[in-house]
Amino acid sequence: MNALTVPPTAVASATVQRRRRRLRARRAALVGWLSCTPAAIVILVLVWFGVASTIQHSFTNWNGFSADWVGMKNYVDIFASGDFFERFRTNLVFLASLPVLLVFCVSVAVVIYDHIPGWRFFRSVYYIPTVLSSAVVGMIVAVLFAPRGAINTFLGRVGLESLAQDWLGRTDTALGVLLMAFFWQSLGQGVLVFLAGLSTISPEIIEAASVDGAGWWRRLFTILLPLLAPTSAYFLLTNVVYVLVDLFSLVYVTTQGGPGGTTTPVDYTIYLKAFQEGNLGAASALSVVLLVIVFACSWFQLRLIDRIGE
Amino acid sequence: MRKKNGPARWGISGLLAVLAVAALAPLLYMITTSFRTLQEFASDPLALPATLNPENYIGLSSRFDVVQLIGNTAAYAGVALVICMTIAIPASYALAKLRFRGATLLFVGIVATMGVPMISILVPDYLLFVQLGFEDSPVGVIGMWVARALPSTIFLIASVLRALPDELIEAATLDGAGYFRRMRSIVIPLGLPGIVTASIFNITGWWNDLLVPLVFLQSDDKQTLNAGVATIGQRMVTSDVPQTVTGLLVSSTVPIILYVILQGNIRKGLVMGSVK
Repeated sequence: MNALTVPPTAVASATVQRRRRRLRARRAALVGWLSCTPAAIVILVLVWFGVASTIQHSFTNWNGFSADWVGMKNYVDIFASGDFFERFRTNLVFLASLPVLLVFCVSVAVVIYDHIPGWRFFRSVYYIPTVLSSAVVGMIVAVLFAPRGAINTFLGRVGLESLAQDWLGRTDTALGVLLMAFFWQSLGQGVLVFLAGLSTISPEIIEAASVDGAGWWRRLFTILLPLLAPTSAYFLLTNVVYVLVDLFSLVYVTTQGGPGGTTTPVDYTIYLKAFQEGNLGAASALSVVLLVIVFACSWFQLRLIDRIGE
Repeated sequence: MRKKNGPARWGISGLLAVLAVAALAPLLYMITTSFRTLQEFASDPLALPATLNPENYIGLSSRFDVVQLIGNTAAYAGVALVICMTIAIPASYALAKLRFRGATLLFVGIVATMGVPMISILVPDYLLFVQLGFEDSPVGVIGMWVARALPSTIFLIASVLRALPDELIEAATLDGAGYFRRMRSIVIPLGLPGIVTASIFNITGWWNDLLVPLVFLQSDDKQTLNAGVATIGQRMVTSDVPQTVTGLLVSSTVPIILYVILQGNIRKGLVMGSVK
């Protein structure tokens, strides 16, 4: 606009307006920062201070009282001792089971969505093991699979004595029992997550497809499953993080990491190193490695989710 | 997608029924075992109880006080939830609705915190709380719970608030509503779906947490339920299975009842959490 044509009063009010806007922006900044300060302080002090301290101590032989600089020794121990994969074996076994869990949960969710007879009942019942705490689940499983527990007694009763064994006393069966407990506890959550995903699909799309003559299987593979891709990505992301950093409680109660430490997940190893051996430096280094792995996995999967969302 | 109920669908129903039995069997086993004596159990771990013997339930108060453990957990989680929401709601509001320099950076910093595993910060934080004089104290547990829950809580509530039209809050500001008035009459009621969902997620997470109470609390009578089950229960299970199982069963009634009451909310919450 040509400045000459603007009446002087309008110029004045424009500056007033600009000043008022700047004042409001400054107020918003003040209110904004004040609103976030408590949260920022708690997160800085309890999370990022912890991370920084852990990283710093990972280069020392810290035992809680004294910490001497040992350079990369703790990291060399982790990567060069040859048991790197053994430390992560339990986590990797759980990781490998996730696709099975995914297919399992999606299948159950799809038939419940399809209002199979009794679907309301199934939806409620499957969730019950999910609300039990992990320690309770682990304890029940340990009682059931004890050498003289219910499972072995049952096998003996039906003439399968040969199968009865010390389930938690052997690595392969112990891992199997842990996986079963994990599936038992995760099914309900998974089914509900996928039902939530299915509930956002508009019935019109499905109707249009059936008008076009697409059969049940056709609709399943061309409509429902592709539309569930973002939900699957979310489900995998949360569960990948879970099996990397949260297996401690289930394993602590069920097998205590045994037999011979062979079912110990990495977060449990860190716990043992820190609170039983008092080797806080080594525990810190392993924590840092775990932190990096979790961040890398999350970043990769979030990018994947973005890609799917496009 | 819906079809008439033919034999194929009844067949699938049958499979789901088998799965339902598998889901419920351990619970039913706990119920039957809780009414049996140690001698009965030792002679046959599978049989049904001979009589409805309440002995194990009576023994709980002296041997495995799950009621106190539940009380502890509820108290810690209640305090943690109040603190968490008091801190998270204003932050979510500011990050979702106020434009100011550094807002994006703050938001990214908070969201990135979600990826930090508890085990990676446990040792330094434990020593910090011990230095502050909170050894064997619920303060440490509550602090850690709040710190771990804040990022996801802010993320969830902020995403709900962001979807609200700006005009609502602007109109209230023009009407002369101050900061706390806007919080009370607009932000909290309209952000309620996010607040409820985050609360359910947080309480579930705290209820299931074993690592933090195990490390931060040493006395049996201060323990949370999950850690109490893991420590007291584990000591007892080798000598008295029926008594232990009774403890597990009683301790599980609280979340089951809560689930039955809150079913609808949990389902809605999952829609919000998993489908953006």
